[in-house]
Amino acid sequence: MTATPKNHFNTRWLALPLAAALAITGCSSNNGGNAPTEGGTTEQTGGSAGPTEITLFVDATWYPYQDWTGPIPEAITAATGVRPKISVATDDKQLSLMVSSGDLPDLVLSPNWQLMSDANLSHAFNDLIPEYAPELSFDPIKQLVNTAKDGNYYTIRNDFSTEAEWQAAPHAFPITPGLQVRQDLMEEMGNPEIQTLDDLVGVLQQVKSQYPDMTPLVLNPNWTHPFFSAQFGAVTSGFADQEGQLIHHLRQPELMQSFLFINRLYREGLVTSENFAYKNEVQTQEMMTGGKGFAYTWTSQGADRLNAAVGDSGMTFAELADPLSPDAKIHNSGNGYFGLYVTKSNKHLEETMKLVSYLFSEEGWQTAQWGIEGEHWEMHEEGYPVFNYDNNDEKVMKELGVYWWGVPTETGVGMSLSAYNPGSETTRVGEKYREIVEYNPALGMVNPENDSDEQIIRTNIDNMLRNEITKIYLAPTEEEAVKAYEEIIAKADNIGMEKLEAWANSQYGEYKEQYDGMVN
Amino acid sequence: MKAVTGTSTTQKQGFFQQFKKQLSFQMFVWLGLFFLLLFHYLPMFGIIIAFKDYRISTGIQGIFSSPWAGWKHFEAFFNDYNFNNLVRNTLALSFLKVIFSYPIPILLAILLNEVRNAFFKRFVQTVSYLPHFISWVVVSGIAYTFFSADYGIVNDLLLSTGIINQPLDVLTNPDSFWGFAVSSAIWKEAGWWTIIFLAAITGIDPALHEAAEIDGASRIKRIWYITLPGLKGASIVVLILTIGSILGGGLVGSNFEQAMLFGNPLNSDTSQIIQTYAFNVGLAEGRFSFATAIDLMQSVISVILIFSSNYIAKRVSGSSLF
Repeated sequence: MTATPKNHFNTRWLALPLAAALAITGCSSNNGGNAPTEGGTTEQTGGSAGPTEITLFVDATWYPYQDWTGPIPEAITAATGVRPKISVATDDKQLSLMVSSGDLPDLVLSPNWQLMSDANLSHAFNDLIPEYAPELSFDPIKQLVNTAKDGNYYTIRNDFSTEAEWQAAPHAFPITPGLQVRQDLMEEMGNPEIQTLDDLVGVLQQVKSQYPDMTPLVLNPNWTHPFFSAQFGAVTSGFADQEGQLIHHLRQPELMQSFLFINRLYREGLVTSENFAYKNEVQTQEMMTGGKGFAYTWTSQGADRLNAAVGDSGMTFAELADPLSPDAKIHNSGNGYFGLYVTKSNKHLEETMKLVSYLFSEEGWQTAQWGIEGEHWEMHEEGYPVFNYDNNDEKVMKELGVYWWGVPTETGVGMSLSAYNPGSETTRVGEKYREIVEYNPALGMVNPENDSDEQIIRTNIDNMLRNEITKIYLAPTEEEAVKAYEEIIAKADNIGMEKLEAWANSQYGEYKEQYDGMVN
Repeated sequence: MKAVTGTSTTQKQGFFQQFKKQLSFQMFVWLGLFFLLLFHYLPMFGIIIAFKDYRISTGIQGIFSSPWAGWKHFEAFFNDYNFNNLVRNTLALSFLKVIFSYPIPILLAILLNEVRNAFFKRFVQTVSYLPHFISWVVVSGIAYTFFSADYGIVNDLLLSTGIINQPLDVLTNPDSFWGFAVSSAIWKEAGWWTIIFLAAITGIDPALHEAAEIDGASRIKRIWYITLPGLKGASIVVLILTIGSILGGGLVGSNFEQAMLFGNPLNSDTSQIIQTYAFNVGLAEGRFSFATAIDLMQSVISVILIFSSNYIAKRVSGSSLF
């Protein structure tokens, strides 16, 4: 009789932790193990003499470095007294969620300039620099292209250089769209000349008859039309400047010509229809490295990357280095990609700005990106780095911790010099295409704000185009392709393309005037 | 009066005594309820952003402080150039799935129940429910390996044997998307749902079958007059749940996953559905208010469907979910 109540007591009190454990398990399984690892807190490690630890969130799931290790990061810490604690995004929405929960780290590296250039989230560089890093200064054009609507600039984005900087660096070339061909097969076919788009079609037809199991041309899903659009001189995204007036890039007759050219390639059986269904460039790269394709659209670095991937398989790739038309033009209106943002949650502004200032200095980014001068690289007398290690070997780079912590503050010229390699395919293309690059950063500044009506129109047009463009590419005749193009324009007009263009023109004049004033 | 008070006190004491007795079970229930409230009901207040111009940079307080937008986001959706197509695709895919996927598990359960060889029965059951554990991402990879027009095994085989001259474009042809989506969903989920119906069949009194057998009823007659009526309750519950989630694909679900993974620019005329649109144009572009409005609209339709199907089931068959 006495045993029963005792047992009841035990069961009852055992049930609570058990139930709690179940509930917690339920919670954690709902998280899917993807709980953000970033912390909003900062710690001072190693007492007063040790480096200050600051948290740095990298808003790029693909970022190759996940921590601050290796001799190069250590050298940066030694120079600045700061040790970033890194966390890399596990999905594309993580930064948005961190912003909405207010749980931001000290520093954010993100391509989302629109989101982070906000006084609620980030400190403005123009406020921080005079107070904490007076030695840091930026070209006025770089300040201009990074200035938000409120007149402040919250970062200086990487990978951007002014036209003057590009002109002053003869060994630096912007990366352009590229087309790679199988060099080994070209030799087998007697090295036919490819100087025009018709020559290209002729060679692809020759491939089709000579190698029937092969797809003559494989289109990278991320680079389907830019190479061809460049040959016709078209702007490939955003707006195009036509004698001072902006039009949506879709309206350019040159762009329509490039779409029709791709349609011609399809109609002649030189690309497959399923190619337009691919979403992942890994799929098409595998087709190329697996020997199933003859030619491939990618960037000007494509041939070097494919050659590295196929190794000693006997396959070799070469770029089509010469532009294929007298109208060919590369429109460069980019304003950069990644920005380093000092967030409003930052508790170590002085130390953070010491790191930021160092990384933006010539010595700082060269150390971060190339290594220690004299030990890892030396400057060639013609102005490009010569490395003492294999700077294409990811394992070697990772051991050194070199390159990827230089990326956040690299300039366009700096990035390009890192890849300069006399005799490489990338360099061969760069030398030819640099002659036809046209710079207009003012065009890249015409960007509607998030959630604005104009932004919604732009997104809707882009979304519509993604789904409808294949109707042009896969039309059975050229007339039907033209009709499909006209229908797309009509749909874009319905969505509000004219309103978007009117808004763009209202913005562009001022930007262009400011930019031209600085250049001239 | 005294008597009433006395009864009430006794009832109260009885309630507490009973509660105390069940304390260990009650703890599980209350924690479960707490979990449900915290993670399923509390977040529902976020629905208000469907009627506001919410910006993510304003954080959680922005849910309350952002300006009201009325029906703006709903109107934007209705006015989308592709609205008719999206609604047509969503409804067609959902109804086709319900029509074709709902009877299959019932049929499979009955067939399996009639199999006398235990090994064969277990083998078929295991093979049929295993695909349930493969994620749609993996299934899409397998589908491309099999059915790709450029490098799929099936096309290679059919072309090399001369059965076809041109590769079949199952994955890119807009006309084949719905059929492919429905059949792949049935392949993946039918075996899993069969388990429920097999369990219901197990609940049927074997004496009924024995009596029918003695009376000389054939197998078909026994299935028709004993097994099928025995499955009525389970079938109605599953049907109501299916109709409640019809816009997500019903019993076999996965409308979103399939449209996302098998949808491509070539078959977009039939593969674009409301959910993928909400994801691409709403979430991926950071338009949370817009995405919420679309989702809210879908939820309202689903609630209406679940209540009406429950009502109809009650009227027609007498059994219902609630």
